[in-house]
Amino acid sequence: MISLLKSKSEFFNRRALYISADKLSVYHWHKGTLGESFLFDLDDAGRANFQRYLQESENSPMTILVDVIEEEFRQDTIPHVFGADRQALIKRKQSRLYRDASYLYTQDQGREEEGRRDDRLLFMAITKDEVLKPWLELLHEHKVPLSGILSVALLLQSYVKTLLNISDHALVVTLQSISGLRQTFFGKKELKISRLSKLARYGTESYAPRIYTEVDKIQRYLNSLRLIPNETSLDVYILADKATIDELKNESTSLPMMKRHYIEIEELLESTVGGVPQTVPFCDKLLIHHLLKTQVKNCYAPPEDMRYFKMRNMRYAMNAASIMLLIFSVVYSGINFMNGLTYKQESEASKNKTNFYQARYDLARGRLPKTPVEPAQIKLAVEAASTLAEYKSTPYEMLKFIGKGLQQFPDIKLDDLDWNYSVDPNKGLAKTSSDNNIAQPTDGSEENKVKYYQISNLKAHIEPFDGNYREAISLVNEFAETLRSYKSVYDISIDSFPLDISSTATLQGDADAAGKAAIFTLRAVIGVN
Amino acid sequence: MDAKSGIDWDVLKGSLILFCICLLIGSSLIAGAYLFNSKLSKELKQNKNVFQSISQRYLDVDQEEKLLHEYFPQFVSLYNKGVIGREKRLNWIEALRKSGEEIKLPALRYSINSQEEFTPEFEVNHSGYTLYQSNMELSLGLLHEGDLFKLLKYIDKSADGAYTISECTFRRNGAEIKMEKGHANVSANCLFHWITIGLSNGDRIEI
Repeated sequence: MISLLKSKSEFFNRRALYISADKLSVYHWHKGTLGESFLFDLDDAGRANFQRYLQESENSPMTILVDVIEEEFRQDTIPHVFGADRQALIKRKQSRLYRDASYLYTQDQGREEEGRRDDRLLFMAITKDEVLKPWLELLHEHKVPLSGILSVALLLQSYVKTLLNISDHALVVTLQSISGLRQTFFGKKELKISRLSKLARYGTESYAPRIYTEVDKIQRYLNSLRLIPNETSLDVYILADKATIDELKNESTSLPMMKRHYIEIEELLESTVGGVPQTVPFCDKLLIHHLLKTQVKNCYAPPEDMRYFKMRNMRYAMNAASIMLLIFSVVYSGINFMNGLTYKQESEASKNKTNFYQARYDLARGRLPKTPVEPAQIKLAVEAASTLAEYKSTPYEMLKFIGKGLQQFPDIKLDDLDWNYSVDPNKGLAKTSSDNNIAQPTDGSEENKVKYYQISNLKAHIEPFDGNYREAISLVNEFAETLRSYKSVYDISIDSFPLDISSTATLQGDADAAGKAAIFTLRAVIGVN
Repeated sequence: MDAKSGIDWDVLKGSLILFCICLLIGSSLIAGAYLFNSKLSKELKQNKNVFQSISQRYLDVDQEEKLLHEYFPQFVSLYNKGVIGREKRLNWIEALRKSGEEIKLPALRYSINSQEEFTPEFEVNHSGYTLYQSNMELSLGLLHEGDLFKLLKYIDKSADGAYTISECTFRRNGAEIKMEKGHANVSANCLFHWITIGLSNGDRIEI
């Protein structure tokens, strides 16, 4: 019955399973066109054949298109709320409208124009699970990826959007070979209601009178539901082959408030499927072609029924990721490997050049004496030794400086002298000391030439001393001034006089001070060039 | 089929294995290529540096000859004097002892500490070298201040090494100055730093 349908790649292939109350057909989509189709009965033999078909065919994704009278449509409103509240409201409405149905769908159709401006919703359901369950079980058993479940009415809603000049109150009449006559009403291209009625076997009787009878019935029903405003005519779009359309045109049935539009399926098929000859009035191919080409979004299938489709997508995603990863790693490693080879070549060239220059350098260097360090380092060491010699310090300069001053003041006798050297002339001075005691350069231009400073703190006394402190202080000042007049001086400061006469000091003693020592201390800083 | 998650692992098994293999191969390729590239890049960098160094040295060989001609004799002289390389402590002690005898100092005591790194207050370029100092404390009894300078002159003449004095204190001993031989009118304490230049890497300089 079924040819071996397995192909090497089923990535772009897909299938449609068209279920009616009497038959079941499968359509294949192969290389962007509608391919083979298979018809099955709904009895045990048909079920066995379908099972065999599933075993032998490739496991491409399948969309179920259902066309049964057990599909119901109810329009209702809910308050305009969002998120979980909205979901809860919809669920409650669904359970109230379709108590035991598993295949439910709700379509948002805008808001009411008056009052609370509630949301208008179309609640749909396939009220009899047995229509789908046995076939879904088989699909799950064979791990067929189910991409969705739709009805002909929902598919027509998608299809009419592709048709131009459809009026705001349109009744679309289609004939399906395995299900019958479907009349679907659209208000402003939104699905409102749909009705399926059985047709006699094709060729046994004319379909025209039956179509008009059914259209008349539904018009009256639509009027009763007030889906068509008063004084507004209903546009009826009948999709059929040329022969049936001719029959319909010749039929003299009078249908008031109704405009009839005949659309030839051959023309539609030519513009979509592409020149496929059609001699029957049925829209099966047209609808299936639209379904498989546009891959209309799932409506009825719950997530658990679509798990193999999700797993298939995961599988392809993983395969794609694997390939991408492999390509990336090959390209990346290839580039790196090529770069590495270039580096290696350059490295070899560099090594050769190094050897070339090394040989010449060794030859030239052979003429020079062997040294413990590189010539540049030799120069550095000699210069460092020279700098150390430049900064070599001894107390010679300071003693010469003090001695020169003492020669002019024979009454001043030196007791102690603390000497040190520093590049900081203020070394040893407290930062908080008064301004008078902070050393200042005597000659700014001279300072630049000074390498370091010699600092001494000396203690001396005046001998002989007759108790005349005024004279003693004057002598110390003169001595300090004399030192200040020397060229190398940086700073001279008297730390203490023979008698502390400052206002901050406590002064006491004997008026007869003869015989007491007149001791003073002095800080001298000289610069050394 | 995993009932809890609804995942049929049989469906995904092949893809998962493929992904793991690709991940393994891919990461191995990337890691291998990266290591290969970085190793060779490093090698190239090293070789380039060596080449630049040797070519520069080759170009500088005339300059090196000039430097050696100018500085190597001084370097050798500084080495022999103990300024560069190893310090000559024995020589210092001999020089002190002889100078004490020569000048006839009333008192001369010394103590030398272990060598340590020297950080001068002033700027001195010694990159590649480390400066070391050995601190020597001298306690002297002087007839007068001039004796110290005689001593320094003698050390300059006979001791091998470079030194600097950082501190000195002079104290007058008694009110009266006695110009008698062997009498210390002045006491002096001075801190000497014997400075030597050595290689930073710790290698010894041998000529």
